[in-house]
Amino acid sequence: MKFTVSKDLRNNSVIRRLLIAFSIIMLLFLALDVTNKSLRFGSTQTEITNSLLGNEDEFIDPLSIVSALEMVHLDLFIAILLLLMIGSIFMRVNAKFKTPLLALTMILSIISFASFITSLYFGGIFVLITITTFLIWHISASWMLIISIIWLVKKP
Amino acid sequence: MIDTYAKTLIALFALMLLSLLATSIALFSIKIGFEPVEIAHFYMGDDQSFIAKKSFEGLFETTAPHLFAITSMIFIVIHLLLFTSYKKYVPYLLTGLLISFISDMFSGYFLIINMPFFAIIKWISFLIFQILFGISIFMLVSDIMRHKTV
Repeated sequence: MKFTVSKDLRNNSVIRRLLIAFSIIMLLFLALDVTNKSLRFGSTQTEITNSLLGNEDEFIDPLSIVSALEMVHLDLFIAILLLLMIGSIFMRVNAKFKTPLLALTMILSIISFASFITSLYFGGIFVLITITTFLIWHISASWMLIISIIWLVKKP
Repeated sequence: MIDTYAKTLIALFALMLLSLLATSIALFSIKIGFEPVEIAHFYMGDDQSFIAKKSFEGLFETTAPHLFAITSMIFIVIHLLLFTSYKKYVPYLLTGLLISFISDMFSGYFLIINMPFFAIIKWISFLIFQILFGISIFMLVSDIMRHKTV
């Protein structure tokens, strides 16, 4: 992972192209992750609450704690690798509010996973927190990637 | 000297790793249980509790992704520890982590070929792995926090 230690990423054309391609594909991943979750759990607060807590009137079974934990376990692993890679590229970018943006993204991702598990027990406000934090961390991670792509495309 | 950005990245990476450890402990306790008897029943099956014996295919499905995922996490944490003042402990930590991880992963296979003793090995190796990985993360964060910020 030369890009984590090399300070002149833009001077090496191979690394520059590699990181641009990586960033574009990760942007696609983030967009598809939101689409995938909205297809699985629904896109409104009521639909998501029904998918998590179940609804007897509509014959929807609640999500079991084991299934939820398995999903969080896998998604958290992906988020760790993804944010570490995005964070390592973003480290070299000259941008304002770099550290707050990174902190916001990583903290909100942790909160979204924690509130997802909590919402299985308490529902209500925690479903709303899960939706909000999930969307914000995806948007801020995408923003970090877009800034990185623009920085990498510009020649020094 | 280390800049605020790198400090934030490593500290929050460590926090996310701890959350991952917490989910693995929760999954272990809910799905399998922390008693060696419960571990043996989970893999070998138990007629009284209506638990079916695990198949080789089922174990492969769990082992394959974990071999990649846990080894990459060990690699990332240990390689970061090499840049800290704790680097002299790295060989011991790495050995402990790898041995406990491998014995945790593969003791399930010995259980399904009727070797119940491996329930204790799985239980001990799971605990040792979680403790050692937790210690590695703690060492990483404590060293990063001691550095002056640029």
